[in-house]
Amino acid sequence: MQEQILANATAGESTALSQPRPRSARFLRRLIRRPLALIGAVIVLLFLLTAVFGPMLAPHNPDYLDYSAVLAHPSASYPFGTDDTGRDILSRIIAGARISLTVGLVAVGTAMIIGTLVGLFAGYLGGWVDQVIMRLADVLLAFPDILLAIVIIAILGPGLVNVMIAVGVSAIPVYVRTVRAAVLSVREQEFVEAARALGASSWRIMWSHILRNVTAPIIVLATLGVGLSILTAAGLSFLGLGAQPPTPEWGDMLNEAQTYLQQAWWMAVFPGAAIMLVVIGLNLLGDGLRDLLDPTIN
Amino acid sequence: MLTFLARRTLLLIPILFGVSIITFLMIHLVPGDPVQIMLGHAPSGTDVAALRHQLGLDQALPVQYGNYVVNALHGNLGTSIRSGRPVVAEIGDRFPATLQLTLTAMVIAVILGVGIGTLAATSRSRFIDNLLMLIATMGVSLPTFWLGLLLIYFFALQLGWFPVLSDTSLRGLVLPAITLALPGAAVLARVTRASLVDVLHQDYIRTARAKGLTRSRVVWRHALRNGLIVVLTIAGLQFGGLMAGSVIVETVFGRTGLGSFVVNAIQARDYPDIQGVVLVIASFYVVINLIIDVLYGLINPRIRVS
Repeated sequence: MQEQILANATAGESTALSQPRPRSARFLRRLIRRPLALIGAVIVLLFLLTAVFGPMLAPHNPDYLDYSAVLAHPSASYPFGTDDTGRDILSRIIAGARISLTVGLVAVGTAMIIGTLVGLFAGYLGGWVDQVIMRLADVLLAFPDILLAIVIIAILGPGLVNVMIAVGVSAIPVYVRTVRAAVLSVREQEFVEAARALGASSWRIMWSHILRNVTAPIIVLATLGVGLSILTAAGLSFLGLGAQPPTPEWGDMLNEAQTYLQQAWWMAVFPGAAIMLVVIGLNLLGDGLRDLLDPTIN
Repeated sequence: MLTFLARRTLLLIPILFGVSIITFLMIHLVPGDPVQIMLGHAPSGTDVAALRHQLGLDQALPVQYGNYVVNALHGNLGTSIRSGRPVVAEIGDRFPATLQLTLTAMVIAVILGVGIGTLAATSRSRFIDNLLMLIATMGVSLPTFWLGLLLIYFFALQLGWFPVLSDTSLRGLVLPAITLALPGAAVLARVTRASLVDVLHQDYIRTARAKGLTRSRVVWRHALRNGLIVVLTIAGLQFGGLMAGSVIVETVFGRTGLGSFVVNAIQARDYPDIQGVVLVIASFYVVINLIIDVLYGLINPRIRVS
């Protein structure tokens, strides 16, 4: 009981002492006051809804080949036009939202969980465990951006699931590094020492005292990371290393659009705009969250 | 300074060691038999045995790694399966094109990024500042493969100013370089702005203004010089990112280079080629980072001590 009070009192904003309004509501109010962050949140929400309710929203079957309307200009029945086999671009973009968001969320979610756990252990245990883990992270970070993902695709072979793995694994080192650095700065603070003095186990200290103090940087990293992952995954599919035809994946749609660029600009414009829009949304939201959660800014 | 240089260089060795282990292990981590995968459908037993022997895969793992490192240090990265030529020769043919693209993009990114970042940080209008940063956020979110297609559509197909497929001419370099540079410029603009805003709030800037120096003189002579230290670091990190980004840009523009080479190699499962390119780009990146670190130490003496 004593321990619980201590944890609450030291975790920054305590529940016992705070105003009646819950933390999440206050946080939302502050987020809404930032117009750019709000725009980002709305964009992300719209894409999430599209991903969930996609099949109900799409005007056509994304895989239906309408040979009477091959490479059709944007019109009332096909707002974004059709591709070289008469498939509706809008419906395929709607179907692609589910694929891209799934890839981004699963890859980043996995990277976040693994990276956070490894970073916690490295930072809290220190010593040779820390040394080995951090040198390994250094080596992985020696591969710039997309290159590590390409190494993993080269090993596993092309495919959408392998892209998810590749993007996820290459995101891990950043979380390890960030969480470890945060743990090191929190570890020696008085409240952790107090918890230790009260007899809390290492695991308990890590879980309930240190972890809740490193959540802010992790949330910001993850939000920005989903956008980056969506970009990388779409890029790999564009290169033919990810989703394979006829999957309605945005990057792969752009790959097919290359051939028909002269005749059908709409095949290239709309899928790319979808990628950019969702990534902008995630970046604006991530920037907003960073400004809100990081007290050193402002 | 010398000990600083020596220490930083020594730190390089374990990282390059790690990079070499990862590239070496690539072929061993392939699920199934890499030799059968490389040879495609139903290869004959003798072919498999021959290739396995040629790649040295019939030896013990530590022996293989030893040979790999010794060969690599002698400039031997194996033989390309597709062309039968040495991997080093294949890479040597394409490296200049990639370096040309990366360096040009780098120059564009720095000029554009530092320019926009400075403008945003020093602008007295909050609106312009916000607008420029919104544009930068859009730039960071740009998929290069899409930007490339749009530029080809407008400037090559519609206006005919540039060739559709990038060749080795200077005109052929313009569109790919801009495509590769824009996201990097956006990152640099954000970093430059943040770092300048930071510096402009410091006491010595206020002192300089108080003693009667003009605003532009303070920005150019005092603030930018210190603000650019951070920008230099990020720009250095970007260089590796641009090199990796050439994988996509070269493919969009049908340009020869390491990037398009490695994409084709992955599709053909030509592991010696893939390993060679990965090793070269990663090593290059690591060395660039060392140079940046050293430059950083030269500019900012405080770094050397810690």
